[in-house]
Amino acid sequence: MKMSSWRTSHESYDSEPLVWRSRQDRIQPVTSWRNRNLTCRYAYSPSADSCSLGEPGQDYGAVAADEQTVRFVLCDGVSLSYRGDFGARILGEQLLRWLQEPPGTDLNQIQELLVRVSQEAAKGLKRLHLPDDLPPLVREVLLEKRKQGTEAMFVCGHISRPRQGRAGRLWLLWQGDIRIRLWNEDGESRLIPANKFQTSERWSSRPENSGMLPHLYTGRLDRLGSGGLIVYSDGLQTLDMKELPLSGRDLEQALQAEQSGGLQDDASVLELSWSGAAP
Amino acid sequence: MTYTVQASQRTPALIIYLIDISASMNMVMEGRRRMDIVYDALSMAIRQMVFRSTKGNRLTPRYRVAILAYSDEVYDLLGGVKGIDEIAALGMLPQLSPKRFSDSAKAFLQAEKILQDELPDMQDCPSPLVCHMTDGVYTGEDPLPVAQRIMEMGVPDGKVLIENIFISDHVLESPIPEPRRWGGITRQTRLYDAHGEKLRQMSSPLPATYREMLLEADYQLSPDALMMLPGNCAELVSVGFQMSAATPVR
Repeated sequence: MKMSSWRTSHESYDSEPLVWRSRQDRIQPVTSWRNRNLTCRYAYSPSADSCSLGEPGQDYGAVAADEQTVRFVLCDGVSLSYRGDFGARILGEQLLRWLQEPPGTDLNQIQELLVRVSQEAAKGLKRLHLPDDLPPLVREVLLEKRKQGTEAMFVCGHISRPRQGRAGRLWLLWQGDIRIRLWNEDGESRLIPANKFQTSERWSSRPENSGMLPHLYTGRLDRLGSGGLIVYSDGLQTLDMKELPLSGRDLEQALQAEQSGGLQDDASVLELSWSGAAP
Repeated sequence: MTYTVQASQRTPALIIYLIDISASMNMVMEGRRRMDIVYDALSMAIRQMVFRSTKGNRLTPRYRVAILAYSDEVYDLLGGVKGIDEIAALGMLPQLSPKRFSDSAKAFLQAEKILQDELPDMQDCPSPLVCHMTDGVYTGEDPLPVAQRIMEMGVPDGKVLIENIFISDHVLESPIPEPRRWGGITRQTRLYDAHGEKLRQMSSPLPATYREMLLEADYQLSPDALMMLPGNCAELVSVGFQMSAATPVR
């Protein structure tokens, strides 16, 4: 696994479209991209355990932005399911592709999409092979997990950026305990209170395991104003108590997790912020 | 005390099993020897730890385990504390053979020694757990003083937990018809067995994080439940061993 220092973060200021898809097998330091009044920061790291074993992380993050829209996804594979890394990636890739078109608000249609992703993931799981050198008990357990399917918690979003004479729109969809925090000049608003995370909600390659429908939020984005949105996986829960907006140091410290001797869980973060004018 | 530190490769959970192998473990429950029911439940707990320790295709050693069987002597079945990866590589657990007596104080003393050796290096780890399974009155010294000493030991995550699985048909007024709807033994539960009362004094309160894990398995123990289970059926013996492996993991 390629290891790099968190302190080597870099910034890009050009106005080229942004496309970032996390690599699950390596640390990706805090990176910034700026376009007009919009700034995007993102980072990714497998847990300390995964790094030491050379295993991929089970988070997946991706963002794509241009002059008109921003679309993003952050998925946290469930480690007690089978190959959470695979589930998080296939779900994230499909959602990001789907968000190329402005999404609607019909939850039943959205659920149909998620079921189609489940079916594709279930087919993909069958093609994954177990290593030959596993002890029989580990093999048995992994086969049992595979029967139960792969699972992930997720948030995805679509921003139609406001322009002269036209307000923008923020659209968010989520399931599970991904942190979703919004702020503006008046302070912060959390779509999920810190003590109300639903860890039992999740997407699954077996749709009958998913439980309830995902949650949907839409909001208007005015052209003028400052604010932002940050989403991160529970591997960065040390950020829960930090006031927004976060400093670069806040992010780097959380990702280094020096106080706890390294990240206990995979960690991914994606932040979109705008100042002086909406994105 | 939070009992929230997650078991990980860097901060593994330590679980010490104390298994009574006195002659009465040959008695039959639900058509099988008590010893065989315990063996299966312990094997299932090990399997559960493997389940909770696999990430991707790999087994990360999130648990460390010692298994002490006791009668008038204490038998260290694994030859010390072993990682769950080492235990998984064994293929199966060593067999349990019933002996004569039931000197539980000796077993707790050995658990105390293991904890004294291990705790200095476990300051960032989940609080250790001692899971004691017995089916009757102890012989030898009273185990309560050493159990109380153990419950005063600890790490920043919390004091050492002691769980008791008491195989007995008489500790409660009546059998538990639906284990999944049962709230558990609390400080107020009336017990009909003096030894059960002793074991209650040796049982830790069930931490909220453990309770949540058991809720996910559809066992609805109450917030004031103790880590004590009357193993009057194979299912409750199994729940007791599941409880022992309910350390939080990610």
